[in-house]
Amino acid sequence: MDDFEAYVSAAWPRLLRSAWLLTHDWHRAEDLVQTVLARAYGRWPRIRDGAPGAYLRAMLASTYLSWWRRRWRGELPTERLPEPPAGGGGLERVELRHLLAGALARLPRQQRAVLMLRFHGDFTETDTARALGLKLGTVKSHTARALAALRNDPQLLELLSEGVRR
Amino acid sequence: MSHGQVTDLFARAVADVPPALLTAPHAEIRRRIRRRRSIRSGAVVAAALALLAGFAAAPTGGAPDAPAAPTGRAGVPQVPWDVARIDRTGTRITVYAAPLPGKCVERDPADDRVEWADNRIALHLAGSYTGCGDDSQPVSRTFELPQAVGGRGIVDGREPLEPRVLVRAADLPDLAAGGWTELPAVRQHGVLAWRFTRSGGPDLALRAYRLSAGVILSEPDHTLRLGSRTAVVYDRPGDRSAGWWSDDHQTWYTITVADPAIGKSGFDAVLRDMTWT
Repeated sequence: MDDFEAYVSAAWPRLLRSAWLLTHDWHRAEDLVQTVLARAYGRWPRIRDGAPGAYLRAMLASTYLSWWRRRWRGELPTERLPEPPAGGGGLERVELRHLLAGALARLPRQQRAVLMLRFHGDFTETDTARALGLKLGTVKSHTARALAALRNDPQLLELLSEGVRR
Repeated sequence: MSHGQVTDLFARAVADVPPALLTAPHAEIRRRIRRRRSIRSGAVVAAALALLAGFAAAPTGGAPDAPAAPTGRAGVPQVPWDVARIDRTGTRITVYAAPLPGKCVERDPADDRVEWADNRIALHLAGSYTGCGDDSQPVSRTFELPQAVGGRGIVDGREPLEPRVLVRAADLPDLAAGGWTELPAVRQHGVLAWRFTRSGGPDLALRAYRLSAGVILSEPDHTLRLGSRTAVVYDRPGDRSAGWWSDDHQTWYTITVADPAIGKSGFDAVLRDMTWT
């Protein structure tokens, strides 16, 4: 248990960040990570000798997909919304997170899981396919479609250009 | 969009973990491990007992019965809820069953339950959907909690990862203090509306939405400072409304007055006269 807890202490923030990219909510991200860690504990002797970070991130993605099978999201449509704060200068991280959360929320969940593994977990396409039980071609098409969706988001593009200017 | 750009975008977006969540909650993780072990050992015992019972009861040469499914609260059918409204004390939470077109909710309140954890409260609404003629009546349950919600998240026990609309009285004006009386809530196009009336008017409707961030819609007519909040005001004759964010920026509230006799300045005055935090 000591060994497991020491690892959890060190890996917790990064796992939480990965989970946020799936859930776009910090408390649900925490719930997801806790669930995965509780499941992983029984397998820890096998996990620790391999690549525990990658293993746990793959578990995050698969657990997330298994919990989110239903398409209904509990979010409600609305007619009138305020303009978000004017851009002008550099956008703050909080705003960036809100914008990214919106863009990710509009993606199908499998695409979101693929993006998390590929671009936050540093998974190869092959490893991503294995982790999610998908064909390699499906991972490639999910990646391409998800990136196209992000690319077509004008606010995200603005953020990206700011990132380049930083 | 290159691989590096996406990686950078993700890293920047999640750089700031809320301070309260930065430390791993070891106690909660240990609790979940223990719970998981007890569930698994309970299932093993149940399966073993079912197997022994099968051996005792099965006629020689007959096919054994399948082990009985574990019984317990997990078998209670539940309906999802889509909105939770938390009162000012934080001890009363009213949840509203999610609507389903053409269906009504047949409730089983005795099996409702509340699960507490360090960081969240899961509310389970027991019941099932049945066919009916009028699906517009909201179905709700008010839970009385032994202590205030505090900073805990509120989740639907049926689907703990699904986002829900959380309406906190602390985000809202104190309409009772202004003489308004609350009427039964109604569903309009699936959206809950809480209605308020008072002698001399105007009647009000309050709505709450959980929004995907970054959505851009119409430009408001003007803004108003109301207590510590900034509200935006939409000025449409016969349909004047104001909107503002919750403290946690997860919920967008609107308040609407449908009285055409109330002009722009009159609506502003009504809003300013309310008791805002």
